[in-house]
Amino acid sequence: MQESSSRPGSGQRAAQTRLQLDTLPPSGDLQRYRLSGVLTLSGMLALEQAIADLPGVSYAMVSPSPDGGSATVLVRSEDTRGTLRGITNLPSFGIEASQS
Amino acid sequence: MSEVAEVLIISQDPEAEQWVTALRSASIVANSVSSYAEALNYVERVTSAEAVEEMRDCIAVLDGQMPIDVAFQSYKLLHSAHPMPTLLAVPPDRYRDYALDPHRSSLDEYLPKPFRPEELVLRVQAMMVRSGFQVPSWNPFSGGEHPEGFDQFRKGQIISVFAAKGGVGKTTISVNLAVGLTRFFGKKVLLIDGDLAFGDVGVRLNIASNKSLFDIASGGDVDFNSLADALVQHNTGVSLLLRPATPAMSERIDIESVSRVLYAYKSLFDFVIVDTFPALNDLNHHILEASDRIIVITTPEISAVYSTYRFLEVAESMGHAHKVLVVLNRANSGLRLDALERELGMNVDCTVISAGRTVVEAANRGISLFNYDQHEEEEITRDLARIVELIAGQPRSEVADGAGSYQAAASAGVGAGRRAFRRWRGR
Repeated sequence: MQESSSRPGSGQRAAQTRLQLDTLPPSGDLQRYRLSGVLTLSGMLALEQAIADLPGVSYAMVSPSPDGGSATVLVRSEDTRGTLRGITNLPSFGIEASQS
Repeated sequence: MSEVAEVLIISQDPEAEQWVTALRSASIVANSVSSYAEALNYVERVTSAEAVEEMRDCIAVLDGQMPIDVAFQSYKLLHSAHPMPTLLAVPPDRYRDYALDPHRSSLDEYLPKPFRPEELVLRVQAMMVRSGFQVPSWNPFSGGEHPEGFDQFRKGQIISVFAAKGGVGKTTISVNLAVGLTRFFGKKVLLIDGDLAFGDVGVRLNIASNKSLFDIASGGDVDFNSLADALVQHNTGVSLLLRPATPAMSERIDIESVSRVLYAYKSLFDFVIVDTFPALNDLNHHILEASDRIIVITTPEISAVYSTYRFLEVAESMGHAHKVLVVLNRANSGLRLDALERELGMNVDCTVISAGRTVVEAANRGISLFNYDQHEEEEITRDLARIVELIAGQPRSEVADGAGSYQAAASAGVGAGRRAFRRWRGR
């Protein structure tokens, strides 16, 4: 998830970047998602805090993979569907849920 | 807000130790760690009740080129319960992403890698000011012992231009040396008018300003923030530190602080050229002591040679002999070179021919000889260029296209400059 190289002509790229969210099998009471795309360290922290602030969410963590190719998002929520909808509607992140 | 901040560097870069050394050389308490666990221990220590009691706090430098999981864990740590101003060192191809990041924290600043250690120091000092911390009390402008690492960090050279007798062309050589080092070698040069009462460096370069040495050396510790404010930028690219506006102000200069000022500027410029007053007073003793090289100007008249000889004796007794370069000005207008070298008991390193009319016209126009005689048609201009080469440590012909049209004209003089340079290095 991190540190891909810049593309030209990307003035407000961070705000426009589409992040792909794939649902993974849950682990206990934690929902797991794979997040693919370009985020900065501050972007990842902001995302983690934004998810934690969603209604019904009691725990959220963004964990980038060591190879930097993706990140795993762990969420404990009373309303799984509502939380997923909330994540994809977070302003300024541009997160799309995978169709699969 | 805390009084003093120390710096925590979180990095696995082998150069991190150099960054620590550079920060310590600026009297900043700095330590580096390479793992999240170490960072956690450090942050717990600096956010402990004892640290808060002691009014200590922390600024972090986080290397964004570490493994992303370590970098993110560390970043979260620095922005958690006790948020810290963070300078994030980022890969150059990610700098734009960070600079435009809509989620960037107001605590964060970014520094593209790679960077020079002194750049890091300046950025950290700026963050200290911005965050309301004191810049550490020792700085090159204040008194006290040099901190650990200072000598390793300072990198420029202080060149004092001295004459035991007035009117021998000291300022002409100082001005042209400064302009030449900038023009031919692209060096970052500061020219200081060390003749506090009657110096005319400003007149020679046709520039006037209320800013002067007085602004930073008029008593007590020198204000670090006035460093840049005291300088005047000349259109040749040379920075100038002019003499005080009035002789009365010059009497209020704190002589003790002058050498600290010199050391401070030395860390910021490639060359600090000091045009001195022709006397062995306290001020000049400080300047000569601080100098890496002393260019002694003399002329082929018996009185000037005698004064120079006496100065060389003093320089030897003070342990400055190894720094001295002798320049014979108006070389074609009096004693022969070999006779003069015999009288002085040492070699002359460079000679400059007499060219009164040319020098006067350039001075009256307020420009250097290199600007006045751009094609170096006058022998004096080529002679001055040799002094520049001697101080730069290389002939202009070895500089990649920096000298432009001046190189060809200068080529005739390169041999003498190279010979003199070899002689100097052989000492």
